[in-house]
Formats: sequence, C-alpha cells, structure tokens
Amino acid sequence: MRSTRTVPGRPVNGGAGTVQKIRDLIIETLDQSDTIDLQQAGRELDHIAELIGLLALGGHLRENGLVLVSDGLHLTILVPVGEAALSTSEDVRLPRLAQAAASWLLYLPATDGLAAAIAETVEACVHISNESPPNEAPDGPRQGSASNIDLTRLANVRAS
Amino acid sequence: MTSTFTTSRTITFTNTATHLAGAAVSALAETLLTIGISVDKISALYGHEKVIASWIEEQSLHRLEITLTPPAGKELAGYSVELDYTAWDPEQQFRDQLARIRRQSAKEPSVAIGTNFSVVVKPRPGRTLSSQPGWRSVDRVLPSFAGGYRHGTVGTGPGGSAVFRSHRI
Repeated sequence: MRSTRTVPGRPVNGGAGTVQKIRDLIIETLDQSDTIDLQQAGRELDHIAELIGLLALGGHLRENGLVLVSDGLHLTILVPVGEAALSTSEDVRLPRLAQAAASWLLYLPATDGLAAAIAETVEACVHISNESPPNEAPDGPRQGSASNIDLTRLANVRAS
Repeated sequence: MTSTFTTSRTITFTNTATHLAGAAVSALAETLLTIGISVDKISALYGHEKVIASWIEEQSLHRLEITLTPPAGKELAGYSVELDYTAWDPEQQFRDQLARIRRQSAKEPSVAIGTNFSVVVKPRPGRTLSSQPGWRSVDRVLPSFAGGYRHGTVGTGPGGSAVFRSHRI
C-alpha cells in the first residue's frame, strides 16, 4: 500500500523540529511490528539525523521524499519548504504496518549537493539506503500463522 | 465582473528567521561538502541553525562568515551570508535560490584534505548579538571579507533577505 505523509519545513519548522517529527513518524510506524528492533532503528535514524535535516532545509524532500519500505508498506515522507510549507497541513497520521512485518528500509533521495555525504553516512547503516526506492511495497507477511493475522482488520470486520 | 482575492495567512518574523537561517545553513553546508570538507565536520554547522535563527529574529545578525584553514596553513576567507532587514510586508513571499547557489558552488575549487572551517558571526552596527552557549568573542585577527563574488540570494521573506557570497574567487 502506498501512502504519503507531509511535514512542513521552513518557515514553519526548523531543521531540528522537522527531523524530530519525521523520526517520531518512522519509529511509531515501525512500532506496530512485533519483531522490528526499535532500538536499532532509533540508532540508525540518529546517525542520519543531520543529513535528514540538511535534506529538509535544502528543499530536497519537496518532491522526492524519504521512502520507508516494509512488508506491505510504501510510505513517502515529503517536506515542502517556502510558500508551499505555509499552505500545506501537517499530516503525520500513522500508516498501518502489519504486526508480523519483520524488515524495513529507509531510502534517502539522491541529490546534487549531498550525494557524497549521504553515500558515506549510509555505509554504517543496515536499514538506510541511497539507492532508488521500489515503486511498490513488497508483499506483506504471509498468511497462515497466528502472528500474521491482522487483528485490527479483524476487529473492524467484527464491529461492522 | 469584478473579482477579488484575499489571502489570510498568519505569519510572523519568526517564520522569516526560521526560513532564512535554514536556507543559509543549507547553502553553507552543501557548499562546504562540495569543496571537500568532511561530512563529520559539517554537523557543527548544522547545529548552529537554531542560534542563527534566534539572532536573525532579534535582528542583530549582520553576517555569517566561514573561514577555511588548510592543514598547517593560514586562515582564509571562504564564504559569507549577509542579512538585510527590510520593511515588514506580510504579503512578501518566502523564496530561496538554493538551486542557483548549488550550481555556482560546484565550480568552486576543492580544499586540501583535512581543511577545517570556522563560523564567525558579525553583529549589525549598533547592535549586540545575544549571548549563546558555546559562542565566544574572537581573540585572533580574522581574514578580510570585503568584496566577494555574489552567488545568489539564499532566501527572502517578509522583512528580510540573505545573500550568499564566495570570497575565494
């Protein structure tokens, strides 16, 4: 499932504020999984926090955002700047991630000014990539085991 | 038929300060990375964004200066961002010219491996920069930042603008 979320950048939010909102969105999204290691995710996001800040401040996330890919999830995070930031509402609604989702990868966009810095920095991260993201989310967790049952959807079916 | 269009946006000079500080840090950081300053040193510059925004908001900051010091070499003028405070016009647009500055910075000569940089801030005449943690007065003779080649406008917003210059050309 493809989703897009938006965090307005300057002049609404400075670099640090923008990065914090993006970090919260990614961590809370991954927190829906029972198996993804959140501490490792936090460490890797902290390692690239300044790069995300510079990407946001430089307007590099206006059109080609950060892309978080996990089992059944393809989330693009955009950061408009300038006038566009003023006319855009913040949207950090939590996208749904299956409890059984086990892997994740965050793609940083290729840019002119920061490409070398990004390439050097992501080398130390297992879950951060500077390659082109896939167009679609990989298949979700396989059905069949109890841990793969979508309890939220099941609850919705029961309620309807 | 007569038509009218009315904008209703609530902005303050804080927005302008946030916009200009962010664009200035972006332009300086990307330029330093482009000329070969190592990525681990850039974090110091990124960390100054909030303080720079504070000084712009109090309208005390005149100019940001970046000096470059090669290993065992003399400290040289590198780049500057100069602030201009204008009359408040809430209808003025928030813009930047970072794409133009990136094109210009790509032509800048690279620095020697191991080159360091310093950030120097100058107050407007008659103003004082508020005290900020980690910042102190300079007790050495700094290189001249007179003149310089204008790379472009880092950003403009209601009540202010900032111009980026190279002092290496």
